[in-house]
Amino acid sequence: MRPIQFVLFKMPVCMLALSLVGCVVQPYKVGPAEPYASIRVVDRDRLDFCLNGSVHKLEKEEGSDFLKVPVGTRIDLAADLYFATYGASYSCKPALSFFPEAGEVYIVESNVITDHCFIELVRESVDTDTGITFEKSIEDSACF
Amino acid sequence: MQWALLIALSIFLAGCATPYQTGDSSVTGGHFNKPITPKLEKIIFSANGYTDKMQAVEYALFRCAEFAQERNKPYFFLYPSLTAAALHRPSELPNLGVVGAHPTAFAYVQLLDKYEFGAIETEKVMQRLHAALQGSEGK
Repeated sequence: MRPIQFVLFKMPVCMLALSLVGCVVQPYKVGPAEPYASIRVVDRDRLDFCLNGSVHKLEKEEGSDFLKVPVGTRIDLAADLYFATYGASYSCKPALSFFPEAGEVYIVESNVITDHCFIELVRESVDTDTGITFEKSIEDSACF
Repeated sequence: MQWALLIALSIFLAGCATPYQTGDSSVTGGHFNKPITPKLEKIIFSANGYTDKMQAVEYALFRCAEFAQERNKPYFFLYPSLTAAALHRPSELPNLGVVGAHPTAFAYVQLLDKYEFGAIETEKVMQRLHAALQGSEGK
């Protein structure tokens, strides 16, 4: 292959591959005996999750509608949002942190509202008229 | 020939604003429901770039009322976000998201058997918006 062909075709492919390798985020799984909290994500199957400065993917386990997160420590959640329309694309990554409690179920919603992205989290509750309650431990993310 | 038909269909679809319709099997958008909890439903109206933003908001509001009517509920609370629902801060209009030129209006609905402060009357919305819909169809 002539040098110019490498520069034009192979080198960009190699650089893309290298950059993608650098971006791989490992999936996180709660241990079998470990206590956990459950997260139901509206309209999405995964979130990014940060624990002690390390970023992981959070994915639904087979046959489950929930993502499982560890409890007893503050964690950060972020949603990768990507929209494509009429040849233009938009992406953003809203994030928050909270302190999950064992056995609780949380609902996470992320979306875009008139040019800004948001992520919100509430706690499921059978005691309220809406079935959800405000999560008091929410703070800004320090990780994402 | 097939390509010509596809192109003609694409041009036809692209030139039309999203009408009030279910989005379940539509390529131009429409309304969707998503249960959040047994007591809270997310209503979405997703429109194409030819649809006015406020039209998408009105269609989402209409769908909220229609959803309440289908379940024989005379009133409902409309919340613009999950956090608003958790804090019981109802609104009169759905939220509006716009990506590019595509408006998507959405709201969270809690159905009620009787009036509570801040609730929306199902029949009132149905009458007002039904008249508006008929007006826009007649144009």
